[in-house]
Amino acid sequence: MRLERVLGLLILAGTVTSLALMALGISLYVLQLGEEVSFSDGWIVRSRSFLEFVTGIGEERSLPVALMRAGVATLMLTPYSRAVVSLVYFAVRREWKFMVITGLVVAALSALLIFPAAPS
Amino acid sequence: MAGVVEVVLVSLVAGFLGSTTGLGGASITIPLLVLLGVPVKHAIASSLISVIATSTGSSSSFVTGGLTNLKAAMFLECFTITGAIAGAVLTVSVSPTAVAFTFSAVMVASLLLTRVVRAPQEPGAVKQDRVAAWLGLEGSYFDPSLGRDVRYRLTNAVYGGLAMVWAGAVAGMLGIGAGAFKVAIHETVLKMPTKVSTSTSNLIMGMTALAGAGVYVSSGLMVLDLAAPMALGTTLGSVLGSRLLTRMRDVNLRRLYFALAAFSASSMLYRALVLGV
Repeated sequence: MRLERVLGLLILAGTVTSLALMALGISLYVLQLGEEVSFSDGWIVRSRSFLEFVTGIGEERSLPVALMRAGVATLMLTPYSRAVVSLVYFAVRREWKFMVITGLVVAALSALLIFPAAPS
Repeated sequence: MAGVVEVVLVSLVAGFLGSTTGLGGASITIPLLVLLGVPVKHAIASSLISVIATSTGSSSSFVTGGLTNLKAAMFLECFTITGAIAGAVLTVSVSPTAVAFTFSAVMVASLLLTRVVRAPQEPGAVKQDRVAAWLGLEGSYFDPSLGRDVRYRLTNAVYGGLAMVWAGAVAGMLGIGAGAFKVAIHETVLKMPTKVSTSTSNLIMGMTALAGAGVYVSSGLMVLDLAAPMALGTTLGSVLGSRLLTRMRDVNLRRLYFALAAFSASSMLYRALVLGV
């Protein structure tokens, strides 16, 4: 299968999944909490890193918050996954120049998503 | 303050317009939300999620259809993610008023770029530089408006890459896709055909926005019940927009782009100068 087809399907799957999770979360939000956007503590993301943002989904008590977090996390992981799949593709095809370029992108993003990035 | 359903609808329209023009839905959504009373830094941080949504929603069909140059995208992303991280760190550190003024200035710069950038030369006539040739930055796509395959080669790879650091910084700092700058760099420096430029820019936006969002996740500026409706509306709008893109003429896309950038610049300046942020 061509890289374009694999990446197109991956991007589509990530988008549809995140869309469904967020739509469900927003529906529950409107039904349970009303329509106004809330800037209270539960809704502002205060994770130390993206990794903590993802691992915290399971501990979330509010279902609308958990669904929106899962949707946002899935969406953020979609371009990251595209880079990882591209890296594997270039490695398998032994296209060394693009394997190094893609490897740099994946390494930088991995560090960014695992460790705290914002200035304190 | 804005309602959740209101945010979904505003983002849907913005996503549609942003995807067809390559400007990106966030450049339209952020000024609208700030006018509705959303704090500018929260709008920016949350907006990067919708930029990823715009990118993924529209680029799926572009990538599968072969309109996007994947190798060029991967090469240029090395530069844009570096800029995006620096830009996001800057926004976390400076005042909201400074961010609003910068947003407006960047939109004006987008307008000027649109006036300066001319239609790229005939794709087949481009002479590649050594780096672009070494990387194999070239491709072809079927253009329905011409009824034939168009082959093209890119050039000035290093200069294009360095310019993309700045485009990435703008994206990370202002929570936008910075499509104006990416498209301008693609077309004027790299000599990329307009349709390839728009679709490749859409793909790069997602990775660039991810880098910026990675900073904002730990900044306390991202708001979930703002980010999710923005992303949902923008995704739906951008999917609709991407289906129309290949049927639209380049000249019409440029006119629409100009009008939208003018609106974003003036509304953000109005908010910063008259209403305060």
